Amino acid sequence: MLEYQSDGAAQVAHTRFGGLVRPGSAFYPMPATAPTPRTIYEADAVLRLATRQAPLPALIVPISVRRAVTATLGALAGGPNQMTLDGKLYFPDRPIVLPDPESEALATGVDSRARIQSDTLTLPDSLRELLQSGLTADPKKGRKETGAAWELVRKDFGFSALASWYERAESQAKASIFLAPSPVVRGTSASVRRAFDFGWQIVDSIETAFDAVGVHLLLHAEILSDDVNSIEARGTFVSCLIALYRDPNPRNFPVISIKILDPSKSLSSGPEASIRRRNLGELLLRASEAIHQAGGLAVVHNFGTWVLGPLDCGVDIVGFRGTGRTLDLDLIYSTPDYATSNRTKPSVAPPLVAPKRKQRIQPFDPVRLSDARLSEVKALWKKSQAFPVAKHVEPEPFWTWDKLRQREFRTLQVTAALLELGEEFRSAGKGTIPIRDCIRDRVERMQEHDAMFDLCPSL
Amino acid sequence: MHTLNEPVNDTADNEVAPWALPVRYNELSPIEQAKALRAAVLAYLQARGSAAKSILVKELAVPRADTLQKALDYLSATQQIYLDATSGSRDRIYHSNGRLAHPGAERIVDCGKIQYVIRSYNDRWAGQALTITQYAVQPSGERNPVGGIRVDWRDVEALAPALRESKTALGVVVSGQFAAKQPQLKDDLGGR
Repeated sequence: MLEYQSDGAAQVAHTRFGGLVRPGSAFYPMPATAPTPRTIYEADAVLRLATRQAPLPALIVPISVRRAVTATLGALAGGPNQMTLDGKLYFPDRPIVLPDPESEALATGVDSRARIQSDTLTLPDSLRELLQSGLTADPKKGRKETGAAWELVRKDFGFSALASWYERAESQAKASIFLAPSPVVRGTSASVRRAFDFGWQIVDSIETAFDAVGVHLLLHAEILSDDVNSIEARGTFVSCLIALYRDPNPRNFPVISIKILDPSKSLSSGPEASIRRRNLGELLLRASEAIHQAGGLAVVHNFGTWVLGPLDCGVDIVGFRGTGRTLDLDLIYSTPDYATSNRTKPSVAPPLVAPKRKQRIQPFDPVRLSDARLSEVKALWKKSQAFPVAKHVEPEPFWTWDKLRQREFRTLQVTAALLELGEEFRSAGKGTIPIRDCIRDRVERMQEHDAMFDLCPSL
Repeated sequence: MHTLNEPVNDTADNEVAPWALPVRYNELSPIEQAKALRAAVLAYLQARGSAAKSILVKELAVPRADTLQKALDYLSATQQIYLDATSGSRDRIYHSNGRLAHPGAERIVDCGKIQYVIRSYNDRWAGQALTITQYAVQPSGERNPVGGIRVDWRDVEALAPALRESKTALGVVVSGQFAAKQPQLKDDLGGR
């Protein structure tokens, strides 16, 4: 149904330039940056940009918020495409919709876990079992380790009910590609094999027709460290992808989606951050090469302002959130259970309370892809009634607005800037200047040089 | 040496065969049981090739043979597997469709609440075939398979114009009936 057509006139680089084709109906230019709206601000920003004809080849819908997102985005996310008064379609070039199966909810206590639990009354037993597991086992609370929980589900319940639930959820998200959840990949070869094995089993048990199918892999950041087990696990990961085309029964157009779970933020801070980022860049490069050999599509999620790294590694669709860099996942901050924990009760708050800091929404700089200084933005506005904004966004004195609208404006800026980056990258691939020089030029204008130098193989 | 459908123990003791039924199969809801059974049949046929019903009963260790028959009927009606009915045997042989020929050869035809999916298969054993599966699309976006047909690639050329002709002929017949009823309708209305 979906095919990849390479652009013969584009430059030869790590990246593959071309587009996804649905014969007779649509063309989606690749590689692309894809927004992942999880809040009302983000969905609204995407809709506003699409209305202003911003380039939007792909859209990622997280399944735990699928109803809210599709309700906000309406016609853009696959609903009936209505017409304007002059008889034109609102969205003639609608994006390809991918789901985010949110495998992290099946492994750790993130926000999406609570949303999935309250989603339907008829959760299958297998899914309920997985939603109670954690990255570490806690026998006192009756919590199983996530890998053990997956093994138990496979043996006791099978994956058919789980697959059926995901099939329905992704259909409701208007996704045209099915992505199967899989157990979290830790720093061992066994966990890598298990993730691929279980993921493909889920894919094989779905009944609904989708344009393409694939596996969504959740990689724990410990696979990126430099110890022997992790190196072996990365090798196994790539060999599992090579098997997609080397095996006697290859997969047709496999879609491999990767998300990084980094709760300790070891990729952005700490002594090992640079090494882990380099390992991540190398892994993405080798993985996307194997996926391209298999004739498939490589997708990564939540790279935020680091999107240029995976794009240069050859990934076809790079997801980002409108809130910026989000490689770490948002954990649920619940009240601690003092009855079972060994910790003492917190002491009474001191009488002298520090004065409350006034909450301020930082402006976003679309050139440096980082926070800007409000004083500088104000000065520029005072001088020339303008300041740097992304394409399809108008400069406005947002600091005079209420906090809600300020947050909306910032999200709009982030989303527009990252969509523009994707478009820039695609046009650079077709241009005459070597892609390596284009990337170097772009990275030099960005704030996070170190991260980009580690992630981009062209530099 | 073993025959084609003879059970072979090719999995290690600690490994679960992909077609094994869940341990807590009896505790699942009837819908989940049906889905688990269909998935097991599909996995078995894809991994081990064509098999008779008696072999499937034995290999999958199905608690009730009539439940398996329902699963087989559903899978063959939706063209996920196909049935060799020419032998006339009571123990019929079920075949997997093989593997998809090419992703480009797959089509989804949206017709509102109904969706047709055309898939092409190219298999060394099963030959070249084309299946058309009909899906009912719910307002929520959920799609459920309803039924389908399987056509040999060699017959497609003959079938396509025949379908078009049938539609034209049907249109003529229906409009003819309607035209024939017109005078009667006019009489009923008192010649107005």
